[in-house]
Amino acid sequence: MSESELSVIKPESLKTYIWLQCFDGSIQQVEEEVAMFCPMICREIVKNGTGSSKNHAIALPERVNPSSLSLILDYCRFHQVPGRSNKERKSFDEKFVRIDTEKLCELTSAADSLQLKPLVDLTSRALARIIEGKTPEEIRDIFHLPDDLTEEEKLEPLKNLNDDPRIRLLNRLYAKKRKELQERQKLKDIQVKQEQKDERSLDELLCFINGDGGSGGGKAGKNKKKNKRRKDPKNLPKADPEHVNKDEGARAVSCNVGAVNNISRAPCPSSDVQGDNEYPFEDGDLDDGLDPAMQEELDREVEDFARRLNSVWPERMHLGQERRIESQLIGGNGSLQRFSGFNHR
Amino acid sequence: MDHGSSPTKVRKSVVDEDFISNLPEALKDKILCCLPIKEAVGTCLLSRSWRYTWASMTELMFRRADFASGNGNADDDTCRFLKFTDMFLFLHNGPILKFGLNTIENEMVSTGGHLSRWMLMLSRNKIKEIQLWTSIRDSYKIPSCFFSCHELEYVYLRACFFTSLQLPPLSKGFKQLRTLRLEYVSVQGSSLEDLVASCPNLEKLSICRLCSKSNINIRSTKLKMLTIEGRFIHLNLHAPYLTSVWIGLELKSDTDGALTARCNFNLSPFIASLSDVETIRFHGQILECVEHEFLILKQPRLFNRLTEISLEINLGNLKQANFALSLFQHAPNLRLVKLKFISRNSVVPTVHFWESLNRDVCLFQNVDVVSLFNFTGSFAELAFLKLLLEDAPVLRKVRISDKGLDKDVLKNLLMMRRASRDAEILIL
Repeated sequence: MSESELSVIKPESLKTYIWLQCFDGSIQQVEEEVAMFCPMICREIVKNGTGSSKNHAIALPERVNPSSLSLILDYCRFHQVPGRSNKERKSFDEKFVRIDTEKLCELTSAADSLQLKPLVDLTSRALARIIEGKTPEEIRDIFHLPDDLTEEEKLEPLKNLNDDPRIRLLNRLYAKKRKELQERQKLKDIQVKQEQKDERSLDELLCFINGDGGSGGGKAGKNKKKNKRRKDPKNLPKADPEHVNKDEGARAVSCNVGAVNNISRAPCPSSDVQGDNEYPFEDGDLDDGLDPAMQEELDREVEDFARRLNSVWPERMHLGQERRIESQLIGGNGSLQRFSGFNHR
Repeated sequence: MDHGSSPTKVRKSVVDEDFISNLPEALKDKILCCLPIKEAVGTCLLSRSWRYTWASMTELMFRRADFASGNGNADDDTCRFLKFTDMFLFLHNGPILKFGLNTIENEMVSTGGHLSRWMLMLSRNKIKEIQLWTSIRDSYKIPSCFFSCHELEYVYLRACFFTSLQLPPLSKGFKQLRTLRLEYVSVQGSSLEDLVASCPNLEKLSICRLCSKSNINIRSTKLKMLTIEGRFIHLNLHAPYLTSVWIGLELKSDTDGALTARCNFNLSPFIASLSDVETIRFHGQILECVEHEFLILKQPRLFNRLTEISLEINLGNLKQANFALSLFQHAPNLRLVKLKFISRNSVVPTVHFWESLNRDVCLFQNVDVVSLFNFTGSFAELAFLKLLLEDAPVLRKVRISDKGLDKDVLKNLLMMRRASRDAEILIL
């Protein structure tokens, strides 16, 4: 395409032409002084002597596609003329980079592979100007970048690294989203528990039908479910699987105790459910033997335990109390409960 | 399942459409370096491949002015700025070739410790160019880790001071340093000499607002451009390839403007050391140091290469007029003359120096542009101008910037005979 153009413009000139070949095979010829403006082409001509004929065209690097090449040659053609003023050059440059962003990127890449430093500087600055002042979504949009950071990676707050108010807003939005996700997760957990709740009520009914002479296992099961039911309203906000595990452990023990003591109570569990949310099961029996002083002492010990975390329970005999203490601790440290749970085993 | 976008959609768009992430690393780095630093860091939110691209930027510019939150609490903003820069340098991974800091309008609340730790960080990172535009209210001592930045090529420091013997004795020096610019510095003893001596390839040395109580000795084999402006006693210069020298000497003066300190600058030997220069600029009160019998008249060597002279001169002062004359006489290829006139309200009688000169020898053979500043139309100045106009054969432009000239004076001026037909007088 350029061959015919050139021959029309300068039919009788004695200019030498250089032949350039793009990676896709197309060959162009261009005036020597224009081509020499590119350091890479210049070197090829001088060192290797290529480019003087069509058969020995200079092979351009892969990143130079034909459209970029023609833009580059336009640039060279303008700037290699020595007589231009700085103002002229500047205004040419400004107009030159007003092209489609994708083409600009290709042009930058091509200019870089041809080592045409002024053009690389110009196009890089133009790309920077495009990026400047835009939000990440806008930038992704322009450059067709994939939005492949996981939500969690985006949520890692850029703590104080970037004090841009937009980033702060972004962090806030992400924090909100995170909360939403957590709530969704909680709802799921609640649903799971509620399902279990339903099952339990069925089993209870069965127990009831079977009568109080049911096996320890049945009773245990009853107690277990009772415990679980009672604990759940409290546990909903946390949605901690640890709680469930711990509860199982505690219940396993308590069930044994309960099985011993609470045979008489077995048939009417429901009446006890509403009250005493703090108590894992009817501890009326177990409570009877305690006087307030003892109770206070144990309360103090709880505080101690909470502080030191590694102390051993001296009062293992009053399992009921400990159960109560445990339940009081449910609102606190999950690990605490687990620990106390294991102790009882 | 809810987290992130579906993987299959992502993969397709990467292959087909994303065109900026496939640019070579050097280009991405270049683009990021053109962005303001906060935005450059913000690119980590764009996509996976851009997550840590900012962390390998090679040219960093931290501007305190970018952190102005506009709520009037400057200390707060300064703290945020320091924190940001600290964190950035901590998380940065890779060589840093250029480091720029601009805190010129705001004082930093810290005591300068931030500069030491940043400098330490840079000394481990093959730094080539440092520009610290710090405020003069934050004057600091050059940290010793500065002297371990062996790859430095360009340095600009401001509002700092060197103490003597600061250069570590076994230091390798700055072998690559080409340009050293210092502003508002104070030097003690021979610290400046030592510094210059440790830069064997130094080509451009520029010291503005210098404060020194002693002589300055500069020995440099490759120095081409020298600028020293400030307070000092004398300058011993040994730089055979010097092409441009600009000396501005400030002397202490009391409230009346009269000089209390005598000028100790030995101008004649100094001039003698400048045989190959192309540009001479003497500003400040340096010409007050001219002795009566100017020794240069004994110097047979001509300043053949001298093409530009710029002087701050009182043409009515005999000594200074003599000096200027000898300069003109020994500079046959002089083309550009710039004179800034100082007029002192002294009781020295008017000097008919310029008028009584011998007109046989052409003084301004090649002079084509002359600029005169602070033209007051005094006797001596007019006489000089007359001489110039009648003498210079190829004169093209004479630019006169005045402080309000009398109409008669102007008339006389414009009517002066001109040797060159093309001579143009512009009164600005």
